[in-house]
Amino acid sequence: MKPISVIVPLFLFLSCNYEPDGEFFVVRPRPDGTGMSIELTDASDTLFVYGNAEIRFNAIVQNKPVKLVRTYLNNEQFGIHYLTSGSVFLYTLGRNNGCYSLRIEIITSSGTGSLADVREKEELKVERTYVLCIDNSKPDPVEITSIRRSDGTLELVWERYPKPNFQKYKILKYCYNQGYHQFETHWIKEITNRQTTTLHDSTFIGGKVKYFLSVIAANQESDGVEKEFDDPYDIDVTSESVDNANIKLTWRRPAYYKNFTSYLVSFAYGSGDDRSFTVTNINDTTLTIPHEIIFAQTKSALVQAYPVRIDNYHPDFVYDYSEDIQLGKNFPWYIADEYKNEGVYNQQLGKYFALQYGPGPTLTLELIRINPVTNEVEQAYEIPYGSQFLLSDNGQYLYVTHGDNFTRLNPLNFSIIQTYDVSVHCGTNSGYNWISSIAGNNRLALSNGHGSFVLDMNNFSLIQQWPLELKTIQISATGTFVVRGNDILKWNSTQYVAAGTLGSARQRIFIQNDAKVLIDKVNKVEVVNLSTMAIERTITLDGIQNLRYDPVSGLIGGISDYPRRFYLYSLTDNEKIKDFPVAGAIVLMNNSLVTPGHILPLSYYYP
Amino acid sequence: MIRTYLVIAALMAVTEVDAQRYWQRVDIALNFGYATFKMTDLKQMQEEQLSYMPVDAKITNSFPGYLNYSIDAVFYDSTYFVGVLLGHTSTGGRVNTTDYSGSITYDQLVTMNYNGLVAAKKIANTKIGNLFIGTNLMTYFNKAKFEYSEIILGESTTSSYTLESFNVALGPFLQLHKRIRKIFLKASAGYEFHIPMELTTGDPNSVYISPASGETFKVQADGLRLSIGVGYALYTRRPKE
Repeated sequence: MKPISVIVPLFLFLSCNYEPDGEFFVVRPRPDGTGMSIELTDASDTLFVYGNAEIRFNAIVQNKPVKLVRTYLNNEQFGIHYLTSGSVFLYTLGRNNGCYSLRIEIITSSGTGSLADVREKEELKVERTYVLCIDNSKPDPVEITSIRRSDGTLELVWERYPKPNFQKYKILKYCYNQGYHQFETHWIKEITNRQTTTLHDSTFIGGKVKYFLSVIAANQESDGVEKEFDDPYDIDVTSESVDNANIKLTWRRPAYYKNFTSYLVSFAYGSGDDRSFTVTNINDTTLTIPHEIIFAQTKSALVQAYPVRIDNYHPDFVYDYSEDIQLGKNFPWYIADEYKNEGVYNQQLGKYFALQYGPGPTLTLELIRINPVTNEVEQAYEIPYGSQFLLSDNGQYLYVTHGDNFTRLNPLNFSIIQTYDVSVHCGTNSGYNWISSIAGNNRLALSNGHGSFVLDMNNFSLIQQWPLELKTIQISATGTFVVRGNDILKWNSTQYVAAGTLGSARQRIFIQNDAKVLIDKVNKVEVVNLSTMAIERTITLDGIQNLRYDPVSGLIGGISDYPRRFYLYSLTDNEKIKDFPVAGAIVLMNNSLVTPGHILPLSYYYP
Repeated sequence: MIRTYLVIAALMAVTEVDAQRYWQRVDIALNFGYATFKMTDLKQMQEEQLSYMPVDAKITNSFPGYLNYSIDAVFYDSTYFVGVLLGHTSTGGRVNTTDYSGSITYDQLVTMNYNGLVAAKKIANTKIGNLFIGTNLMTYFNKAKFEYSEIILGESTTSSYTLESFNVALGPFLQLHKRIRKIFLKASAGYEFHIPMELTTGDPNSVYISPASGETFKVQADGLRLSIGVGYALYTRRPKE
C-alpha cells in the first residue's frame, strides 16, 4: 500500500509538460538617419522676423513618417507641428528685439518596419539650430532719390530700406488732371522685394506727376515721402483743310516712346460728333479724316496720348484740343437769331453793317461796320441800348434810331451828321422805337399805333401822313413806293397815291431798284413787277425763316426749322434750287452764308 | 486532481482487499508513451492570432505529439482483465515573430489529465507474450493556457489566461503483455476518439467566446496513443486444479 501511494503522486508530479518553443526571426534594416535634414524655407542660417512670424521649414526625412516637429527659442519650446513641410508661428510682439537661438527638432519613425517601429517605440531625431532675430521697430522712411526720363520711359529711384524686417514698399502715383488742374490718385503699387529700388513707370506719357513712397515693415508703415516731377508734353494739335470734305490733324510725338500705347483722336464734347480714331504707331502724328461739319457748326479735335493703362477707367494721359474747326472763316459775333437778323451787306458801300454787344460788364450796344475781305470789324460805334439802325440800299443814308431820336451817321466813319426828333412831326412814340425804313432819297417812313408818316429827312419835313390808322408803312429802296398795310402807293411828284394791293405778307422786299418787290407770304414768295403791278412768278417756300434777297448773287435764301436746312431760291425758278443742312441763324448776304461768328462763301454749296 | 487521487486510492484499497478473493492476479503498471492530437479549434485560434500580428509572423509550434504518462491497476482473469487508469499528457502551440528589436509570442499550452476504466480480452498467446484487445473509457480534464508576450527594446509585457474543459474519450487498443515472475512488460497501441466540451473560463456555465470571431473552442485531443509500460503483480493466485 505504501509504495503505491508514494509512486502515484510522484509520477504525476514528475510528469513534464510540453513547452512551446521556436522563433520566426525576420531580418530587418537597422534605423538609419542618413540623408535626413531640416531646412528653413526663407533663410539659410539667420532668420529675421517680426509680428506674428511664420517660420516655414522643410524637413527631408527620406520618406520616414514625421511624428512631430518641435521648435524652441532659447531652449523654450514655442511650437509643435506634425507635418514634414509647414510652418510654425512665433508671436514676437511680447519679446524684446534682438537675436535668439532657434532650434527645430524633428522626430520621425525609424521607418524600418521592425516591431519597435510598428509599436512606435523606435524613433529618429534630427535637429538644427538657427539664429532668429526679432525686430518690431517702426520703419524709417526712405527718400526718393530721382525721377527722370530714361530711355523713353519714366524712372523712379529710391533708397533701399536697410533692415530685414522689411515687408514692402508702397508707391502711390498721382497723375495730373489737366482739366481740373489737380493731382488725382492714379495707382498704388506694392513692391515686396527689398532690393528693388527702381520703378519704370509705363503709365506716364508726359506732363506732371507726383509719387508718394512709404515703407511697410514689421507690420507698420513709415512716414511717406512725396516728390513731384514735371516734364511738359505739348501735343499741339493743329488742323488744316485738305479739301471740302476732309481735314488733316497734326500733333506732336511724346518723348516717352516706350510708354506710348496709342493716340486717341476724337472731338470735343459738344461737337456733336462721337467718332473716334485710334492710332497705335507713335510716329503717325497726322490723321486725315472727313470733317463732317455743316455750316456754321464748329468742332474741336481732341488728341489724347495714352501710355500703358492700368485699366479702362483710370488712364493717365495728356491731351490737347485743336482750334475750332469750321467751314469758312470767322466773322464778328453780331446780334442775330433765326427769326431776326438785322445784319446787312450794302452792295454800294461794299461793307457789312450790324449791331453787336459792346465789351465790358455793362450791357451796351454797338453799330459795327465789317470789312468783307478781312471779315474784321472796321469800326464800332456805341449807341444807346435798344437802338436800331437803318441803311438805305444805295448806302448813302445811315440812321440810328432810339425812340423818337433819329441820328444820321456817315456810314464810312460813323460821324454824326445830324440828329432828329421825329416827335416834332409825328408825335412821340413814348420811348419805343418806330417801325421805320429809309429810302435812297433820304425819305423816312415811320409808323406806330397812332398812324404812319413819311418824312423828307433832307429838310426834315413831313411829306405825308395817315394819322390814327393802325397800318405799318414801308418805303421802297428808291422812295418811289410805300407799302401801307396791304396796299402799295406810288409817288406822283406831290404825294403817294394808291397803285394797287399786294395783300397781307410777312415782309416785302424791294429789289432791283424798285423794279420788283418780293411779297413774302410765308409759304410762297410772289415776285411783283412794280411797273405792271403783276405777279411775275410765285416761288414755293419750304417753311423757312429769315428770308433774305441777296442782290450780289441774285438769289433768295432762308433757313428751315429743325432739322435746320438752308434753302436757295432763284427769281427764275418756282421751286428751291438747292438745300443743305446748316446750323445757326444763317442769312444769305454778299453771295455768302453769314451767321454770327461765321461766314462761308455760298460757292461751298452752290452752284 | 485531488478527486482523482481519492478514486485511485479507493481502487487500490479494493484491489488489495477484494482481489485476493476473486481475481487470479492484480497488477499495477506505469506507462510511458507518445500521444498525438487533432486540436482543430486551437489551431484555428493560432491562425486567428497570426492574422492579428502587426508584422509578418509564423506558427512555430502547432500542437505536435508529446509524452503521455499513465498508471493503471488491472485485475486479471484467465482471458480478460479490467481495471482503472489515470494519466497525463500535454501539447502546445506558438505563434512568433522576432527581429532585432524584440519579439511577439503567442503561446498555447494544453495539459490534459485523464482517468477512466480499462477492459481487454486476450486474443492470442504467443512466444513473446499475451496479446489483448481492449478499450479505455475515459474522462479528460483539460486546461488550456494562453499567453501573449511582447518584448520590445528590452521592455516586456505579458498577458495570459487559462480556460478549462473536459472530454469523454473512447480509446481502443492492442496490448502485448510479457510476464517475468512478478514483473511484466507491456506495449500498447491505440487510438482515442474524443467527445470534447467547450472551453470555459472555469465556471462550466461560462463558455469562452472569441472576441474576434465570436466562436467557441474545444480541445480536440483525438489521436494515436502509443506506450510501453512496466508492471508489478501485487497479488497472484494459482488457478484451481
